[in-house]
Amino acid sequence: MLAFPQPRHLPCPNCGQSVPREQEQAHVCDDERRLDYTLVQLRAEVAALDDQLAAWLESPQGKFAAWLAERGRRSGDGERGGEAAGGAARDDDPPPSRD
Amino acid sequence: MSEQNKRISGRILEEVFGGGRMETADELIAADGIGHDPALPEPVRGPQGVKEAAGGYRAGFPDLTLRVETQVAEGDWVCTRWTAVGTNSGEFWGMAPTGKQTTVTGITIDRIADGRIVESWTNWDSLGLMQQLGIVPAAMPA
Repeated sequence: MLAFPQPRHLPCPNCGQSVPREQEQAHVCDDERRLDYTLVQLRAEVAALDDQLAAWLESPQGKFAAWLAERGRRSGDGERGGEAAGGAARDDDPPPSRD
Repeated sequence: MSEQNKRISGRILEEVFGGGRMETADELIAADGIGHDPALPEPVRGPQGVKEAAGGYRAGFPDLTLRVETQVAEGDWVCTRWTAVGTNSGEFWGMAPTGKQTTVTGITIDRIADGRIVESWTNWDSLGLMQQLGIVPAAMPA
């Protein structure tokens, strides 16, 4: 009885490389290839990132985060969001409005 | 003559389809040449037709390479068995790229006259390609 045709090669589900069926178990993914393949699978999300980031930056939370980061940059202490080491935080600009 | 004809057939596969060197089609395909490939909707006509066919495959698989495995020649005829490997990083058959690398085999029979291919028949494992791209199941469901 004839069996359904099977391809002799199949792409690895993790890295996409074409692998002979008999070498499936022994196959080891190349890290860079696996990364490239993952990015292809996520391309819609990557493309949407810019739009999503822009939308979030327009939100109250996003505006506050941007203001806080800028204040931290000006005070030279980006990690703590503006609190200068050993002293009171500088506060040159008012926080963004809630609009 | 046989060796020369084999080289002509091999160069179209390796250089045009497998390397994107379209100028080789101008050199080796007869102006009224015709190619038959069941995977294509219409016969391939002349050097321009070969370029368009190769361009279509290479658009879907930009790193496509073809390796000639075996050739048999007799008189004006050459039969070539080949293996093609490529990564589906471009749109192909109307589908978005999958990023998957595929390996398919095929056989091409060419008739050659005056140093050019005048007629060609190609059959290749299109089912295997669709299975590797995930369009068709690789195993029959139970």
